[in-house]
Amino acid sequence: MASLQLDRLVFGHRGEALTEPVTVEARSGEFWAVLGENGSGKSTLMATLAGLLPPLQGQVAVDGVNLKRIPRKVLARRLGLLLQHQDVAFPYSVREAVSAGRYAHRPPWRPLSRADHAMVERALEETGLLELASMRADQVSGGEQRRVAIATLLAQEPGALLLDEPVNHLDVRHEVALMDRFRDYADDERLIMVSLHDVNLASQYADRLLMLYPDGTWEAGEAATLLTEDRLEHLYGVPLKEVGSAETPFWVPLGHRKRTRL
Amino acid sequence: MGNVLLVELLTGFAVGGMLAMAGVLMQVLLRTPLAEPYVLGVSGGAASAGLVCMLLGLSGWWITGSALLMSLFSLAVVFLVGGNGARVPRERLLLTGVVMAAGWSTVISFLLALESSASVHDMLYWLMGDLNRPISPWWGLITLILALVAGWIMAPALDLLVRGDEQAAVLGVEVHRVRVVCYVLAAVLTALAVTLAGPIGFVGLVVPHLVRLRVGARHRILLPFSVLVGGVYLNGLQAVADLPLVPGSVPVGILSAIVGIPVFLYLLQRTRIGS
Repeated sequence: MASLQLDRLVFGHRGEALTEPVTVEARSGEFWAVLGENGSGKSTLMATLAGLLPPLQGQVAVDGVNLKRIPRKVLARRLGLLLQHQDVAFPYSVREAVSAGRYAHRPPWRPLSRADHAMVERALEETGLLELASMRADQVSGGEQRRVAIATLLAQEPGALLLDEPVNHLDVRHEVALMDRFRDYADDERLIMVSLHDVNLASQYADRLLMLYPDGTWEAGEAATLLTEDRLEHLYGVPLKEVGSAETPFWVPLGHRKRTRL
Repeated sequence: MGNVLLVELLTGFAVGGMLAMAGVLMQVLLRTPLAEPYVLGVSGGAASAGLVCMLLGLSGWWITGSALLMSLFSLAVVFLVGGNGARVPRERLLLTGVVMAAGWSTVISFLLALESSASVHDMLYWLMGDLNRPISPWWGLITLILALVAGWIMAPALDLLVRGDEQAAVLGVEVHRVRVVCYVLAAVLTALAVTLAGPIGFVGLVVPHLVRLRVGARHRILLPFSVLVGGVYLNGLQAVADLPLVPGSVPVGILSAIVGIPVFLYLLQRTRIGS
């Protein structure tokens, strides 16, 4: 169980700010989606929230404590991040790779406990990797490597899960299974924050949104109130139209023909 | 007589073990199985420093100390020039090291050209990697044991570090701290190995590769087995060098290169560049 406070946070690379100062509080039990164009800073925000990049201004706090002052191992039990890219250059098995998620739960000289092993097996099962568990992690397919990374995060059991484009490279079955799993985690009083490029996945799963507009402004709040045609056009630079029913709204981009000429 | 043989075997074991462990640590730091003290120019730096000391008539701890400084320097250059960001391609780090190695070998040639005495022959042998010298293995063995204990404790962190600094950090590793320890350990092990037996190449490449094939990549198992196999491997090469059918006295470093270069090329050919 963890909460995240973004306090007048300005994030970016090499001193170049990507947004105006963001102030948002995300509490445990909430499912957040971060929406924005490519390059709007979704990944940079995720890296900043996980303490991989220093904030340009303002601060990030986990459960009220400034991220800077939390040792990595303590932080890893409260907050985990699924990175977009990762690779394994050495012949670890899938099970060994997933076991890495238990690092923060024990002193370095102690081997994995029975509870650790049980957690790893559960993570393998939930990501459909049990049959692949003894295969080499550097030899499975791209989508499977993605699931190895997700299983590692599940084995880590953090209170808050930050997920940078978690369903990239996944087929529909695993995509839905995974988003359902994250929804369960949120219902189980964990905090979920997902960056997504697919507005329809966000509208189906998220109850809160953080929208990073191309001009550097932002908005945060209830998904139901923020998902409007005006805002989405501002967000993506193309008109989107709402179709489908009121319970399951669906957004489709209108093609070039219906777009006003610049 | 038996004592002399025992000391020789222990020296061979210490040097082989240190080179293998230095190789594993450098492979963690650079995240590629192609990293190794000799290939990265760390051995070359240590050897150049040792050679300068010999030319100046210095010996003992002077050689070890200056070899250590140059090892640290050489490895630092690899990271400072090659770049140390999470997204720096590993090939760039490796290439920086290879160029460093080339640089050191020019330095060594020049230093040898300066010296005209009969001792050049001894120096040449040392530079090719030679175990047939009267040397005491004890410092090497003690360092090796201490390094192994440190490595054993760090092993789970090393398993995470090879997945990238960012991934390791979010899983709970204090990345900079672990990297610094690896870096210092790798330099110390290389410097001592070079002081004892000259810059023997490719042990740190061949041995960890073979051990990974048998026991997998987990460092808690990989490190002790690499040290063990490294020690036995180098003594084995020395035994081959001592065979009566091998002409003259072949330095063990030559044999190690004969085995190591094909293994390096094989691993390089399997590596996906730029991935």
